[in-house]
Amino acid sequence: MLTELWRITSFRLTLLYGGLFALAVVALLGLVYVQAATYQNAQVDQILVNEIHAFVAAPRATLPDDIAHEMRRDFRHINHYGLFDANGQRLAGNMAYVPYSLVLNGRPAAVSPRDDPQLTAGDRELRAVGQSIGNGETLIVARDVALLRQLRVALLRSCLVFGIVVLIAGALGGVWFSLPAVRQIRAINSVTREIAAGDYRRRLPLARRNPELDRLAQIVNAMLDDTERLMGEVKSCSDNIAHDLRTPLTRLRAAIYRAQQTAGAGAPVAGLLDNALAQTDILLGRFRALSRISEIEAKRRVAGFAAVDPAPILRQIASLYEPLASQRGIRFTLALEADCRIHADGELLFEALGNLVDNALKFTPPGGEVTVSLTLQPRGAVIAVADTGPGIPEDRRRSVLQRFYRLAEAKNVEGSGLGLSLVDAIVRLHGFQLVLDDTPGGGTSARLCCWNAALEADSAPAQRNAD
Amino acid sequence: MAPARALGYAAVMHSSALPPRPYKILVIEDDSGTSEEIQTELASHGFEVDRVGTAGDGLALALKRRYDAITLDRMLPDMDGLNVIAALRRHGVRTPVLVISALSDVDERVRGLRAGGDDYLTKPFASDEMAARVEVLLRRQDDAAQTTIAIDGLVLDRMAHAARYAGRDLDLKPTEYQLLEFLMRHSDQVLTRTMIFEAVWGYHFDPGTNVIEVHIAGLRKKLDQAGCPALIHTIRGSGYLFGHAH
Repeated sequence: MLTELWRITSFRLTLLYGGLFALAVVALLGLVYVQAATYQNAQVDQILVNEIHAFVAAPRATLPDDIAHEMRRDFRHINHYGLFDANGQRLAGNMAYVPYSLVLNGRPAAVSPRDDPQLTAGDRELRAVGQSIGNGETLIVARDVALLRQLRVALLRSCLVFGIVVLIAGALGGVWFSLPAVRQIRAINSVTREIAAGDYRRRLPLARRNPELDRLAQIVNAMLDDTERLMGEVKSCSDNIAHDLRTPLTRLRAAIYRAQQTAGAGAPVAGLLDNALAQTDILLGRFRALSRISEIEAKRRVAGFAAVDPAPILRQIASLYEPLASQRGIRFTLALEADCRIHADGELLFEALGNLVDNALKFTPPGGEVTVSLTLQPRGAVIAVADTGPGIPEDRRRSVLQRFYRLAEAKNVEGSGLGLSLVDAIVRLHGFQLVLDDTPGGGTSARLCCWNAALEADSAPAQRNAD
Repeated sequence: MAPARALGYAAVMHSSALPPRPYKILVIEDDSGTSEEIQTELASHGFEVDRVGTAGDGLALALKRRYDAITLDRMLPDMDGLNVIAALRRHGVRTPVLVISALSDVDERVRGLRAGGDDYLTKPFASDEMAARVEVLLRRQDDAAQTTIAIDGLVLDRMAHAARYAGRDLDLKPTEYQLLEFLMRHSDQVLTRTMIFEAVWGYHFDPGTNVIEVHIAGLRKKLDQAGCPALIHTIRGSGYLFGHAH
């Protein structure tokens, strides 16, 4: 979820904006703090200088009284005064002694705890100014600036707190703004997988909160409309031919059959009628195969699907095709190396595998070998039909799945070019993969990978059971 | 006369002590072309055929008159054909039904018909295949509990899953036994390749090429080696028939 959020631009943008905003606010507060601190220091210094000038300008005799008077007026107790004689003894004021670090030049300076721990005891921080006033006497005026420091701390704290608050708010806002996008992208992902798996009727969802994404989805949807229409036209063309000619063909067959039955076996035309009937049956078989492919392709419900053990199906395949193999002088081997369950329609699986084996037997020369095997790979069961026939050239392996496509080498072998199309339709209905490959030593190896890649991306395969 | 045409009566004479009466079949089918074709084919087998175009009419007729079998289109204008069967069974009518269904409508309920003593066929169908299935349905009522079947000295022991000819056991593989059993249970009936494939392997589609032919040839050879007369006949254009040597 988090990495998914991170991939959303609006989330990252919101986070970036939040971060920058927090930084700007902190910088602003820092500037205010520096300005305020400098201004207040300057003001305090000015007050100190004015005060000491006033004391110095006054007659020496009234100085202790002036100091006492000022002290009485200082309700906040932030001012400190000291008049010391040449020996450092206090003559007036409330300061115990002359600050160690203070240079007596009439310029204000800080007396920090580091400089004078005793004088600044009780969390005080002083700005002080000192001046010699003749006769070895020294006058000190100081002001407690701890309040300023507290202000600085408060400012710093609010910078920190505000920065954190802005960052959290930014992150939450990012999540809030990005969640619809995440949901929409998830929906688009799953729909795209279904479309890639052959369901061209699906459309990308629109969310209405993501105009850019929605516009893109609309464009893709328009493209899908076109694709669906074109594919439908191509398909309906062959389907319509199959469908429209089916009824007359069925009637034709019925008529020939009736003629054959009426004429009887001894009639002079019996041979001709037999042949006509056989050819019509081949024709009907092709049409049936065509409409069967379309019907399987149009099938979207997987209601007949269940956890199926492929081993008994393969044994039945073997029992069906073994005699045909031995009649043609082909060695037929069944290798069941795995015990597993796959999510499939058993009847369709049998039909697909039967077609693969039938194909393998057709193209394998006498003395050859056809091997049907079941193995368990990490991702699931693999059923392979391997033969020692001429093989399928690499650049034709996709073409052979098309309806009526036949290799030039196969023209002498009876067949319709529909078998592998039917297999392909069944495999795609299941979401499995059909891999056509070379058999080591020559020949074709058709591997049926019995896992649904599209489903697997969402969750671990539930039907795998390697006991 | 070809054997297939005579069966409508032959089966009756085998199984019934009453004077021969042609089997009566009800055809419930809304497409008039298909309906006509079914009637022609069944009539040529010597059956008496009534035709109706809706489930309502069919149900009314099936409840009023006694039919020996019903062919029923799955997609009727007024009802799903399977509901017709359910209604019949509720009223205690046990007449076997052959459901004719488009492949896209073949679901678990249709597949389940076989288990209930009925059958189904997908469109487009060859009319002789349809007739052959009706024949099997008509006979299905009779053959249920036979444990041994003997035809011309060939004895099938259904308990031991074995076959004997002239006192000698035939060496049959399980598949060969199943094939022989299906043929002998339905002797004197035309059995199509598809029906054989369905009965022995349990799948419902045309296995194509000549796989079934090869199995039949293998079985013929075994019977021949045992000295058994030729009992498996090829019916041109349709399938096979197991019966007395002619």
